[in-house]
Amino acid sequence: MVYSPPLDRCSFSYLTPSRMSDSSKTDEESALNRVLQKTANDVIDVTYIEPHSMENAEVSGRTREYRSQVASLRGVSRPVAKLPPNNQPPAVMLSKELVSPADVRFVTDRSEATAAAVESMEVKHGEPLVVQFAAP
Amino acid sequence: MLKPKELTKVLEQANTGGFQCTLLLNPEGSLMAFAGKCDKKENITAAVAANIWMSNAKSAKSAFQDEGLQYIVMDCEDGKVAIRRVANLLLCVYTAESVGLGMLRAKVEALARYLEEPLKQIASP
Repeated sequence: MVYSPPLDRCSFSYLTPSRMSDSSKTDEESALNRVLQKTANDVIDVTYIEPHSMENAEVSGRTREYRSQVASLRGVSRPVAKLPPNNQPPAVMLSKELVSPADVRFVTDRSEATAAAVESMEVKHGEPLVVQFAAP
Repeated sequence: MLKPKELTKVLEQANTGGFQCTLLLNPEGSLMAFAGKCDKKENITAAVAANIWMSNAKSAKSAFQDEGLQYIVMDCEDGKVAIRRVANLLLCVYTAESVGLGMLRAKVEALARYLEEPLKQIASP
């Protein structure tokens, strides 16, 4: 019958130096694996896929096709500006009261004020963003 | 050197009236600074924005021969996104659906005008 003492805190003297280095090695390896795993999970690959490169024949074919389509559009005459669709006959519409000068002035003023407001949009200046290091 | 707190304060000024988050990132996708409610996904947003920019920049170079790509504006289902080049970095803003494109552009332009000079000073040659 062989007596084997229970392994507890007092039994660490039974661990030889080689066994301690093995366990610390295992801990280090597991820590390294955890770090590698976390890095692999966190890495975001931003390499973009090259756009599909076409053969020269395809490029020249498409260029010819697009040029012919643009040329065909150039010959098309633009439609004459028409009155907006309305149930009333044009004579009745055109004989109605004109827009008042006050309304025209109001719309013009509001448009100019809106344009000025957009132009004046700017960032509120705080401390300078760049710190200059004093050269020795 | 840039002051990160001041930079964040500047970016925060845009986050009103439906503007949800403002980010400053480099074309490689690294996040430099951000402000707003980004739901802890600001790194992913920065990476996706950089990817979209880089995917379009090459073809835009041949299309806009003089200047190259300056602006990307996307009207998405749940909101709007604008990406604008500032010095050698990218300014990305996303907003709620209710924000108009004009206001989006006006705020991004105002931010870009303010940040252009300081960022040029620290831009690597």
